[in-house]
Amino acid sequence: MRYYYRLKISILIFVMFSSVQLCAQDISIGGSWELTIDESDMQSGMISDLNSTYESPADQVYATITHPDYGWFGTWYWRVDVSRDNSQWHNLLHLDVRRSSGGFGFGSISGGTSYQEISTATQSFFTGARNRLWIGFQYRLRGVSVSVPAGTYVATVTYTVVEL
Amino acid sequence: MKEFKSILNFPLTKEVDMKKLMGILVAVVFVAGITGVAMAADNDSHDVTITIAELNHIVVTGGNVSLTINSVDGSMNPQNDTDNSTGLLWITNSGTDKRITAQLDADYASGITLTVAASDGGTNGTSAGTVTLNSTSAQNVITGSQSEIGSSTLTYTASATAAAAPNSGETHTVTYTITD
Repeated sequence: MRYYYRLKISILIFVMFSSVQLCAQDISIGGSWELTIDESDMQSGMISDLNSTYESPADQVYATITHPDYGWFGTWYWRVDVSRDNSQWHNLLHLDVRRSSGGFGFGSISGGTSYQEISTATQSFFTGARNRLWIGFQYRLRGVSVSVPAGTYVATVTYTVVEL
Repeated sequence: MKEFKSILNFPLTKEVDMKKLMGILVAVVFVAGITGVAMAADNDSHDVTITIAELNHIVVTGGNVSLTINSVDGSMNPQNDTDNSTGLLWITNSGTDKRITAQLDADYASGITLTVAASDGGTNGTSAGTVTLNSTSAQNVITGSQSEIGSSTLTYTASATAAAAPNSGETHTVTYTITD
């Protein structure tokens, strides 16, 4: 029976280990940006084009990056990638993102502080080490004009954390 | 006991083969490792929603128009008078065709006619040609306008028949509307 219990405990440990691996590094995105453009955004007077560029407030959206295996003081390195879908978007519109704050954590964070366009291709955004909370993002919309038909355009922006 | 036997397919007794046991444990570790590699990334997403309201505006430029018929042509019919000092400016971000119509607030006296012709304007708007204005129905002057800032010159022509009664000036308002 001793072998039986040892085996039972061993399997339990490995199942737990496997479960931890399954939910390892994690990125959670909070907040959203909803922008309405109307007559008040016309450049000058009744017959003028719309302002072409709009910015969200800084830290409009935030990310939390954690890895339960390492806790607050364990060191692990990560990179955040960004991309968007194209199903409800207009090709004249350009969506940019930048990191507007570094958040909180004992590790480091680097890059991503200048605007970069979010495309349908996954692109590197910024890198860091250790768990980090409340990393702020800011969006910028470019390309608005009367040539973009009235309507609602939605970009589903995906952030991916990759353990390095 | 029976459950483990059915899963692992070997007898779990004191006589268990230690090599077999270690082999299974190694396999479990290997599978766990593979799982860890396969899940080396995680993602989350949210929506950025942009709503652009529909904008349709039109203005008439150049002020009021005054036309005078005070002469006759070679056939002794009243001579038309023409003016092209005014125009239209409009904006639409509609994704579907818009038209611009013109309508008088009241008809002129019998025998007097006012026509207007708008030139092609914008990248999409097309002139409807010369139209006779009246108070009962709005007339198309521009059609097919969408997602553009347009401009057009208006050419008014006043005409009268010989039977038209002379007057000291009859003023009416022409209203332009951008519509579906």
